[in-house]
Amino acid sequence: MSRHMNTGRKLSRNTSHRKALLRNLIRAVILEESITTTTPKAKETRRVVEKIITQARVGTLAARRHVHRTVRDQAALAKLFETIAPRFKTRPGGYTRMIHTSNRVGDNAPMSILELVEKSEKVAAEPADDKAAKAAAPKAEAAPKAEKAPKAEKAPKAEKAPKAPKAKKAAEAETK
Amino acid sequence: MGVPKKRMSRQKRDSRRANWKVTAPNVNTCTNCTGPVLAHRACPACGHYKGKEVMKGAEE
Ligand SMILES: [Zn+2]
Repeated sequence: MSRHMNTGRKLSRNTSHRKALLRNLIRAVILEESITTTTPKAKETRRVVEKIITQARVGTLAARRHVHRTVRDQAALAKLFETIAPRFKTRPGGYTRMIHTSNRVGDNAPMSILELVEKSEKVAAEPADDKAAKAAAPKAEAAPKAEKAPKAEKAPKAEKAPKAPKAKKAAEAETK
Repeated sequence: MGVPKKRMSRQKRDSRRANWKVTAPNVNTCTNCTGPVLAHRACPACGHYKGKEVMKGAEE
């Protein structure tokens, strides 16, 4: 049968599974402001998130109830209406950005970062990261990164490469 | 359903497969770390894309 008028991806899931997945991804985008996932999942999530933020910008109780149909998480709903919507008050759509990254090791799936164009200051401070890496060395990262960030811009490129391993070793020593 | 009538000779099979070739990916140079990077993708080594650090690179 022709697939006229059919939009969206099935993502190899049945309806309920797909709905649940998208809700989880949407919640993650709202709360984390930047997520790393496969490119098709990111594109599907983007479709919904854009519409939800537009609704949130309206800001009425009716709009809130409308969005609540998709965003069931109260913390996410509150954040969406109280901090994200005002941030995008003057932006006519295009609230999110996708950045393609290397294919996933294991199944070679195309991966992307889906993020809000305007992030809160707290989230904007650190670049998107793997959850695993973040969990492995949360303390180690905080210290060297603050001094590394300005250095990276000033220092010539040749100097940067040898420095990185040294900083890592120092960080490791700290945690011990 | 169409079914092969005769076994295909090694030469016939292998000469068909002789045309299977891999093509190298078209690699660009990262503007930040000068490493190899695919088009429209963040650099896997330094995590930069369009002049900004968008993620953690492998070397950090
Ligand atoms: Zn790079």
